[in-house]
Amino acid sequence: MKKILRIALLVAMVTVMALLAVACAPKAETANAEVVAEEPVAEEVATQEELERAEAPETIVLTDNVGREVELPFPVETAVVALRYNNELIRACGAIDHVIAADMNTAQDRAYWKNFDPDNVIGKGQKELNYEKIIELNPQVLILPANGTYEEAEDKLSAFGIKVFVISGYDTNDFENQINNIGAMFDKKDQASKFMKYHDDTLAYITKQLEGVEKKTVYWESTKDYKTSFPGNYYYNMILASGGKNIFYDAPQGQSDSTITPEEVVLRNPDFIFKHITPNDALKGTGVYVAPSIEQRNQTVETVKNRPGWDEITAVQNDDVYLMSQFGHGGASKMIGAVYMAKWMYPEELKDLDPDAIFKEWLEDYQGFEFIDGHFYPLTK
Amino acid sequence: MGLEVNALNFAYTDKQVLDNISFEVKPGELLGLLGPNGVGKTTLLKCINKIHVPQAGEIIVEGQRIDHLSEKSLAHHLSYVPQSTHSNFPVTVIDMVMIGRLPFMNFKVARKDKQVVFALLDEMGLVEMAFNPINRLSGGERQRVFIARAIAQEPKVILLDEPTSNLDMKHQLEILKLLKRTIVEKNIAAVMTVHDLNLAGLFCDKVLMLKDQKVHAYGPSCEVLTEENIEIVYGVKTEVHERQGKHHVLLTNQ
Amino acid sequence: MSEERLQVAYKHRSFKNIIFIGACLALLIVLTVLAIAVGSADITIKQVWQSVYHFLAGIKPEPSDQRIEKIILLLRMPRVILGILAGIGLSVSGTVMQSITRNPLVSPFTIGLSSAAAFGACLAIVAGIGIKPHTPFGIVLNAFIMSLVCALIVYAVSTKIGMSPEALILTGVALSYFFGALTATLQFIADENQLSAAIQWTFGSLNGATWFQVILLVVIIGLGIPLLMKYAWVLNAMSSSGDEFIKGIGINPAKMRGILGLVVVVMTASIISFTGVIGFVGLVSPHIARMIVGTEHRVLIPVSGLLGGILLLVSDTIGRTILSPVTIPVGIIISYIGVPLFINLILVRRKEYF
Repeated sequence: MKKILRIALLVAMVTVMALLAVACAPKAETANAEVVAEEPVAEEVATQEELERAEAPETIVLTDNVGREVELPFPVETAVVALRYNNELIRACGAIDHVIAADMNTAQDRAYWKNFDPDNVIGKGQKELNYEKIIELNPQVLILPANGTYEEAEDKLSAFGIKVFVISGYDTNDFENQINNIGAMFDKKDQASKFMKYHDDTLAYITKQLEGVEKKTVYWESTKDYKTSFPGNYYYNMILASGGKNIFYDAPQGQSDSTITPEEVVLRNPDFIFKHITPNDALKGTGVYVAPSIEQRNQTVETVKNRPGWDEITAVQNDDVYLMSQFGHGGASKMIGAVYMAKWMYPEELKDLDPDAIFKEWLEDYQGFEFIDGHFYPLTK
Repeated sequence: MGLEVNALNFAYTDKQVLDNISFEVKPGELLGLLGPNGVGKTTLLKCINKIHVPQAGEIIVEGQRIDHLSEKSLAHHLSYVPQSTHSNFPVTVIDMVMIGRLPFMNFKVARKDKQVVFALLDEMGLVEMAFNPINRLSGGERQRVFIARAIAQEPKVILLDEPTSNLDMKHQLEILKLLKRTIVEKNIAAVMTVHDLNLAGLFCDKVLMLKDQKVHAYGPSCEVLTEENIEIVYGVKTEVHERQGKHHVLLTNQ
Repeated sequence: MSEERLQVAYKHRSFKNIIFIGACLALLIVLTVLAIAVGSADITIKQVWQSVYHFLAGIKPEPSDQRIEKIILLLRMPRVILGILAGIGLSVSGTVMQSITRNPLVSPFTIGLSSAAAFGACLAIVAGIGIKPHTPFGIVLNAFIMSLVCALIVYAVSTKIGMSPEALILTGVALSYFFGALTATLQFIADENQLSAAIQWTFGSLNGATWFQVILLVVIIGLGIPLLMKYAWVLNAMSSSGDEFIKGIGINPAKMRGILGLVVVVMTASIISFTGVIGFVGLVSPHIARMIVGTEHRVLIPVSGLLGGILLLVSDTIGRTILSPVTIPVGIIISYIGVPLFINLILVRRKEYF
């Protein structure tokens, strides 16, 4: 009996050692090895300082979305990015080639994010990152939003020299800082400025034209029925930017759950109803770049109008129920959404505003895509 | 009338449990089922109760074969007192006994039902605690409730599964006295499984000892409770003394 | 002598119970009217009566009153009544479930219905699988169908192993986890927007109440409860005694679990398909009712139903007024109200109950 036990033990030990050996074997290089940019060689005789600078890689210190001061390599050549909005903003600044991989939430949109491989993602999203994969890809920076697990990521990745930088594409309040950061870290200051001007000028135009004009009241609803936006919320700010007045202006600030009862809307009687919509097929990999079908759009508008008691609402009576796709509204940091809503509400005051053209510019010039119809419905009368 | 069991055979899929069991219990008689644990006493009760279906033999209750009776009809003739357990909900004594009237009631509690139940509660000394939850009663009191419930069914045959096992001496005697008196008064034939040979000797008119799937001995307790029978069935040496017409069993050093 | 005492005491108890049922009913009616009047709009009780009268008499209201009347008739009333029906249905279901399994910890969701319904809804919302998956009606239908599927599986497995209380509970718990995992998987691969919709569904809400739902539930519950009451004595027996005794009384416990369980399934599945999962009320109302009126089902079923209806009504009303215009999901408020109530009753009546 004892002999058998000893043999068994030996076999077990050998097996364990073999497993360990396999696990620790160096992996084959799969990630693209980016060539690190070389420092430009000075033409004059190098001073001591310049020599030192030439040898040490350049860095830049930026303050991210959550107030952390992070020292990043300059310029950033390789990054991995979580969050669709983030990738969009980076692409708008002309730096998307430096993003070597993204999260599944981004990559699943095969049409809009052709450049990302869904088999090569850094995790499902900013809350479920695959640190091993990130380490394997070996980027210089991980960019993720504030609602992602950035502290944990910092913990895990700092030992490997990968920096963690927070950019929250949905945080429209921090737009200027974030675009500046993107422009700075990727050395794309010009493109970033151009983008910022496109964004700021458009919004400024709206504000200027609507000076002194009486505000229209708005009921805004997310893709979830009866979930609206309260002050402090990014959607609320978007409505402000569009020149509209959210009927729930008196709700508590910073409330995360903003579900209301249908009778509230009837009581507050908005002039306009804006509802978000997302295509039913988002799961099947076609992504949200594809617009919701005309049937789905019509059905959604009808459902809203037919809610019991809602025929008393001005917006319903005047046929002023509009849909914005989740994809479309978020363009250029929700500027696109604001633009459409503004035009729907104030066609007279904003005669020169052409939302389709602005959306087209966003898609074609800043994202490299063709304009696609159906993200905003129905179009202006 | 009463209960008659003829040539009963019962087996679980591959294991024979009861072989050629026959006995008879007349109204007013109490039969004790004896035998070591696992010999099949409870199984026998379950065959009479129609919980198990025997492979052979016949069981006759009040002159009718039970395989010709539906469960519902049988409930009018035969009732069963299971081993006393705690209840998960605070059922009161009176509600528990009233359940015995289920074969007679549809929704409303008729006057007859109330008459029967109230009278029973009185006979069993349960009036003071009639509206208390049964979990608050002592073991002996609880057993009385279950017996009352069985009697409320107005049966002609009553089966009891170890009615005294969890009780102290005083309550054991109390219960069996009460039971005996009740079945004589109401002309009910009763079968009970029992472990305590002395109780069997004191209260049972007849005794049936099971061993190796068969009836080892059956008859009046004063004839069947002998040292030889006890040694064969239980594997235990005892001294049996007769006092006042009853057999008393004394344990000895083995 | 003592028989007469018993007679008097028994009558007295029946009388007390009937009075209590009457009181609960009256309270429910009063609270209903109040709840319809309460909310963001300042509505007086007079206006409530007026609206109903106008509707019944076919009178068109003044234009200035039109909006308020619409709110009362089309939004408040169905919501309030749906809440009451849900409370009644879930409580009665909980009572019956606890009785047929002889287990005080059981709720109408123990056999997995809530997880299955959530999965059905999720399947429709996220994957677009099912009948008319992207309509509100489709989501309801899919949730309902999936609950039935779950019940079917539980029944099939339990019957094979004897349809005992343990069989039902264990199979139900296992399926609960299984459907939960399926739902979690769906949510994992879902688009973020559908995800939030799918998750919100599970919280339970009366926001989408319509008269159609109310009428449907009135029919289902109106048929279900009398049917269950018919078996009140069977329930008395099943909740207090083991299967062996029950067979000896002429009842087939497996068959009864099947039938009564089916009624529970249909009632519960219908309710939660409309409202989402509202927990706790089905578990706790039966206990509160038992502490007050005892275990006799002819009284227990109506009382637990009424208490559940009151509890849900009060919870929803608080939930939609306390932080107006925000609505707090009804399931959350129920726990805040129900738990202290329950613990208080336990402490007061602990000796009798445990």
